[in-house]
Amino acid sequence: MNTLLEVNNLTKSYRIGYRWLIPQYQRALGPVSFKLEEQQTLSVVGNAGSGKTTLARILVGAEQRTSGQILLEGEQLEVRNRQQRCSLIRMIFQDANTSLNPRMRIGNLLEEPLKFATDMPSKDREKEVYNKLRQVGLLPEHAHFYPHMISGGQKQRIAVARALMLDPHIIVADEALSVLDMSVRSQVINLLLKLQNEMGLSYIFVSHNINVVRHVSDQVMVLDQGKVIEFGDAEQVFNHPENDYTRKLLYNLGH
Amino acid sequence: MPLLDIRNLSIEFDSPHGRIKAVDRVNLSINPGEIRGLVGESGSGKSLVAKAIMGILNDRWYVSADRLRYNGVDLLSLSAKERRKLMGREIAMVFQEPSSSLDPNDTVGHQLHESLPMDECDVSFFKRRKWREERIKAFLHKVGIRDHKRVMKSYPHELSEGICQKVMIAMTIAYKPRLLIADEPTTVIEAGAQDQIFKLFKKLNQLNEVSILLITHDLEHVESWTKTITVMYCGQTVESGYTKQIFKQPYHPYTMALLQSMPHFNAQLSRKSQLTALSGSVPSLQHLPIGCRLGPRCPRAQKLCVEIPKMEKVRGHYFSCHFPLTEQEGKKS
Repeated sequence: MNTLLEVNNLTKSYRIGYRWLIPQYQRALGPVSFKLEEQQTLSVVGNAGSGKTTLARILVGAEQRTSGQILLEGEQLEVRNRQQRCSLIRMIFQDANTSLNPRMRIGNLLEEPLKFATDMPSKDREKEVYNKLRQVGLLPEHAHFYPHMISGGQKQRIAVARALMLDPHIIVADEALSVLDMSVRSQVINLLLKLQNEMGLSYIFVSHNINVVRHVSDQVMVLDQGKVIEFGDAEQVFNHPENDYTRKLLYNLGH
Repeated sequence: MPLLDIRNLSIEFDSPHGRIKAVDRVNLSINPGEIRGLVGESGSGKSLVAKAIMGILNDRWYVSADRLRYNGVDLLSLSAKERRKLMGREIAMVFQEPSSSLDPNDTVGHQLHESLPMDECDVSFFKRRKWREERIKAFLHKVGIRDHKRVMKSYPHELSEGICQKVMIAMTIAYKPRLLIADEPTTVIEAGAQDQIFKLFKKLNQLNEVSILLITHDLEHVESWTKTITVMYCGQTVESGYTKQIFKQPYHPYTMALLQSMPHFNAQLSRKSQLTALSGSVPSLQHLPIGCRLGPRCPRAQKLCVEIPKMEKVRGHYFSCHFPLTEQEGKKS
């Protein structure tokens, strides 16, 4: 197994104000270090305000880190170079209902990343859109629909398809499953697991549903107030939690 | 005698395609001092049922029922004025998304002032302010808010969802209701605070003998907090009975599918293996299938399923299915 993503001492601080004209910072995250291998899933769990969303946003480049290193396949990711990472690390957002543009057809929505990041001719782009729609279990006809015409589960599939458009290596899912209904949620979990097997994707799951996390992940990172409290193999962490906070988290979530 | 007794409740509305039954003959009963879970996916009509009990549906909805009785009184035959008397005093409701149901223009303390029952007040005019403050303080402490001073001074947007929810609960218990309807009380709340809210409900139930109807979309939540559950799908009751019984041995394929979609329910399941899932998704109200509404998604559906199945009863456990799971099939998973 070769390492796909390596993160060293990543931190993020926000400026919270001035005191005697000296800027004051509050550390929201870090230092965080981990390694993610191919076809592996890392889950990040923690309470609200623990910095798990911040971590996800830094990894996809939606936010800038304060310090630290991110290595993707041995290559450094620069702080400001978004073009470089936006094709290899993609994100699935929390709520598919609101993250899909209601005024665009699904075909156009999916085509957009290709337009921005590649110089494919339009014929190829169309073909690629159809391919990806099939891959997530929808039909090519769905490309002509508007987002409001399909159901919630299908919308989440579209969100997955959009993340897949540029053939990424890593997909970051920020609470992507928690808004789905129960019977649809297992469909999407199945889809994600299937895609992982077929395409060798790695996932970074940000979630608070421990039962789902336990099922899908290989490694688990527990965050509390921006600090890594526990990190290790999923079964190890869940069966023998070493930290009180982790134990409480597990207990709170129905164990 | 059950506190709330609902038989064949239907809720309909007119649409361009004719009248649509959003809720189709639902049965539900709550005994005094019971916590009942009402589980269903979004769009299954569980909030409609709650609103019909409260009587806060607007005129577009047509509510009809063979029986809709609260404590022996038929709610549908009451006048609006009489119904309003029950509302809030006898039956109280905690709404979804607490931070948006509170008034954003007003401090929490002022809103709590408004919701106090003033007819209980027996002190002179000049002592009322003090009396109110004492009561509010007591209620806030009861629901587990310690720094009542800060909470009373702040506006809803300054507080976290969990605290807002607790404030809402404090408002509802001010009148000491006998039935509390909690409509998705924990969906927008972070995991740590969810547990506190459920514990609070449990405490209210045990100390004040409040019956609670707990509406949720997630079976996982109700497992450890409720005594009985009713499962709904698309406006039809699917299965109802004791929580333990249903978790041990479901009869309806839909309940089974819900249980199987919870990974920890199935102990033999190896990590990262495919979960069993129903295909398709919940149909929209305009395109409801006839008969059993699970029909097109059901793995066991046959020709007979175009007729609505009758409720059957096995040892206090009701289900409506033509081809229920047998005991072996239910236990195997």
